[in-house]
Amino acid sequence: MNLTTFTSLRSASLFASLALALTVGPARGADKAPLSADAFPLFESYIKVTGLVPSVTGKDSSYARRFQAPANGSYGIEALHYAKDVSDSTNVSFDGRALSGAEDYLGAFKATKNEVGTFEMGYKRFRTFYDGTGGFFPLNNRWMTLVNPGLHTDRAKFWAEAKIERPNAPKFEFRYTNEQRTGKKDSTIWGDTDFTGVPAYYGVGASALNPYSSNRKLVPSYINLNERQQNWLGAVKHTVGNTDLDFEIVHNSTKSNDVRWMNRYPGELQLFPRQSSATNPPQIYPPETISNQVSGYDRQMLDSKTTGYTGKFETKCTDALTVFGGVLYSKGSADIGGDRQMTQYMPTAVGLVTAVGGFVGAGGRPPYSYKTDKGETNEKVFSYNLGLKFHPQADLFSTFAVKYEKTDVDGFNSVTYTSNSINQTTGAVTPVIVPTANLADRSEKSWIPEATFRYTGIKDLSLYGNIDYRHSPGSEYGNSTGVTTGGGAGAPVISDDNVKINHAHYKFGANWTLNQAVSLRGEIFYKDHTNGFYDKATPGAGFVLGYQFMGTKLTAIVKAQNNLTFTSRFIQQTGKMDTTIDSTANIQSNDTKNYNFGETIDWSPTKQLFVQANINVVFNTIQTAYPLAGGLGNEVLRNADNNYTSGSFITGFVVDKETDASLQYTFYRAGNYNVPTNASLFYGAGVKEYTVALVVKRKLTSTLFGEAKVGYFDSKNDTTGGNTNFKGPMVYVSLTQAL
Amino acid sequence: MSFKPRWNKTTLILGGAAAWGLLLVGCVMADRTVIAPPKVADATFVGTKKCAQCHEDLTGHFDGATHSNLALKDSKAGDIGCEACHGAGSVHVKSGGSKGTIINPAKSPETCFACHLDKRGEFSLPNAHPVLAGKVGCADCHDPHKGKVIKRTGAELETPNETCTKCHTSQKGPFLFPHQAMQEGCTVCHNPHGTVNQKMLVARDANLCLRCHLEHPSVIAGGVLGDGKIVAGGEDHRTRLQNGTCWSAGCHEDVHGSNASKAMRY
Repeated sequence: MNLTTFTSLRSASLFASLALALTVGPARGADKAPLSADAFPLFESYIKVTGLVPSVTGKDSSYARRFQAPANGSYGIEALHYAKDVSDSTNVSFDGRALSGAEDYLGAFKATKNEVGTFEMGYKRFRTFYDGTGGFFPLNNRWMTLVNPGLHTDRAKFWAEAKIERPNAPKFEFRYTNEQRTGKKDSTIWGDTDFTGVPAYYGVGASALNPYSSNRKLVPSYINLNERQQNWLGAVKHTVGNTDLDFEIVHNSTKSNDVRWMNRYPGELQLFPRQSSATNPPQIYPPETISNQVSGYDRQMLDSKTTGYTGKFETKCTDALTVFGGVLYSKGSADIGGDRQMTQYMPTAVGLVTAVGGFVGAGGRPPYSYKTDKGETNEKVFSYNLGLKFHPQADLFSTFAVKYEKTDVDGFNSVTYTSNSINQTTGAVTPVIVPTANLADRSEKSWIPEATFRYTGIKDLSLYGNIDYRHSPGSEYGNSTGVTTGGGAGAPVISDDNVKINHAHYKFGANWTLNQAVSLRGEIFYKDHTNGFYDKATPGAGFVLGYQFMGTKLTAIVKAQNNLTFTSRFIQQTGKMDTTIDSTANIQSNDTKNYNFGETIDWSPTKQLFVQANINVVFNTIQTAYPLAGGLGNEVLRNADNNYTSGSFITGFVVDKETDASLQYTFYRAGNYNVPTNASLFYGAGVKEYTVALVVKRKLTSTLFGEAKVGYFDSKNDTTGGNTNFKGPMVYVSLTQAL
Repeated sequence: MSFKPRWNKTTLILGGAAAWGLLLVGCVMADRTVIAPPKVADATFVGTKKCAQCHEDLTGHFDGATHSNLALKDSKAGDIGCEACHGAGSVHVKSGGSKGTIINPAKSPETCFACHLDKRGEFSLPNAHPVLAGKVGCADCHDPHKGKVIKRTGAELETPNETCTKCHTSQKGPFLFPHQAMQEGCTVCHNPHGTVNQKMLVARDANLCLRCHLEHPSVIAGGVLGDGKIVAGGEDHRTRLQNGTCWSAGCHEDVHGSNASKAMRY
């Protein structure tokens, strides 16, 4: 633990001690306030000041990511609410928050005048923490980190909104929002390394000695985010007779400039001249000479503007029949851009040469570096729906609706690939500049009929169901040109397909209240999907994906006694998928099983005590190539198991007339991490963690509450080889003052 | 300087015993109710009609909402659809709608967790939207008062992915070469409530992609089932998959869609 953290902890501990001391002293002013059933009512206006200090042993950034709180602690105003009636019909309120460290801020003002409307505006911002981890390879305990793994992004939003809501008049709404997301977050697009302990050979007969690649992609990477979105909304709602009308215009402007930084083969550089393939007997490569480092960035830019118009109506024709419908039209265009610059480090006879997109000829594929010259996409969506709500009797409610949607997208992206041919004898660098074009045009028309019903005519029983079906024929054209291993323009990759998508979804359920003590709920669902791409030019050629998923949800709520409730929930979902290539080669590509058992127990043995316990046990597996692949394929990839158990326990109790306390415990366990074979890289989660805390809350005066929380956390992670473990105590204190 | 807290089983046992003793003393000394969330102290059901008197904008369309299928009733108050989530309303009604007399599920997920136990488990995982941290709420994605609780599905006008792309704008597109899975929805690959895997992925390895992209080995020359090949896109990917996932650096990096590579490589 560093000194700063310790000093902060000591300060917080003093603060906590003070708060705890206050909580065990006599409650000042307690005699002035009548004792309510709940000693801690919510105040109409109040301010809550808090401090949170953990003392983290281990990976600080992993603590921050797990609890979404900074490892150095945070303090400030956790909540501020002030409301005031400025006249008989007008109310104003202000909400605020300012937590330093967590960088969580809010300032919002709202004014409401009865039968006139409201105006509000505000700004809020919060931080999300990431730990910038990469992968772990246990054969040689390989673990690589970013220089600064404590990453974070900030989401900010400004809004201003006015509503005019006069009685018996059209209701107007105007809203402007400006949202931003900036900062750095980690990425799972990890780079390569040969420092894995898997031996790689060169020389005569090397391939026989070297069935596995030494390359594993576990080098961490991150994305620098810079995104902004603005929305202007105008809406009007009005009721004419039995008809509700709703019209809305939204204009959206989105700009993003996100840059992903990658590092491949860091610390590696081949020898010059390269180790000879004629070496006999074969030798093991020193890992630092297997590959050449490639590092750089991939920038994706977007500047889009979209305007959407939506109109809806709902007419109550009779008590039994309501007709509804709507029309949506949106049109948008976007300037798109990419800028990918991957620098290759290359050994030559005259020394190290670095060049963007560097390569040495056939077999030395350039690492795809390009820049957009000009690109844009255009999108038009037109959809409408029409339906009726049918309520023929009090206990039967049904809807029938149909939606039509037409989507057209087209665009182009003219890019220039920059590669550099490097002569390893002279070190000369010869640029290879290749302009290419990318084109796309697709259209889809969807018909979606839907029916729902709910029947409550049987005593204490509700039956319901939903059926919808999507039929989406369309066409898709794509033309993309890249570069070859020699740096030149490749042959265009062209697809021109008819597309057919059919999707059916069925759901039926029942809710049965047996008596005051027992309620049962059950629901089954089934999805049947086909997604086909059929080559226009070659009959029979194409790709078809099909899947069928079905599932069950069961819930039982049993009030064994007035003060004891058991809530049980079981969810199971199974599904199979299959792919068919060119009408002939078919394979089951997926077999998924998921079982989730949940239980919550609520027990209040006395008025002064409650106990609540929760547990979730999940068995989840996704099976694709294993064991179908056979041979070496089965060593490369196993099933994806995502099993886990999590739970919590909390008991709250009255200590005295002015004091409550609670004990809290949480845990999470996942044991899916398998140690990789030399042929693989497994990612499954293997985690053990728990938290425990004691909370004391005391009414210090009739207008002042104090709260102190002392806890401990411990997290162990096998998937990262223990490199992201963390543990330690934490202290949280708060004071809430009525205003 | 170092600080090593000694938290061990003995500490926990003694601390727990002390806390339990404190509890027993408290139960004897204080005649006051401590409320387990999410409940309203001393309140009784009043029925949905009472709620509609002030909140007609919310109750007016509830008959078509997913949660109306529960059709919850109380022997005295009748329909208690609102109070099933907001808590019994008598104190709220009596106070004229005062703050703190009714539960607002938009500010705490506990109400939703009362029935959706599985979601409590998922949101408690290390890779989840920060609902438990209070930075995102269930109501940010779900509207329990109107229409389907999984919004923009079936015959509703808007498209499903807007629920996600209203915040995740970079994934909105449209891309020249979109990932078809995006059309089926972001939930094909991500569970937005939380998973054991980074980025809320439903699988952290190549199984994620192979569910839809695994092809029969016979699509390549000489390929037969069980020959050790893992075929996708008409190529044997076995060697590449031992290196890493399909979306690792240098492979198919732009998984949401690309504007320059039909194979979504960059």
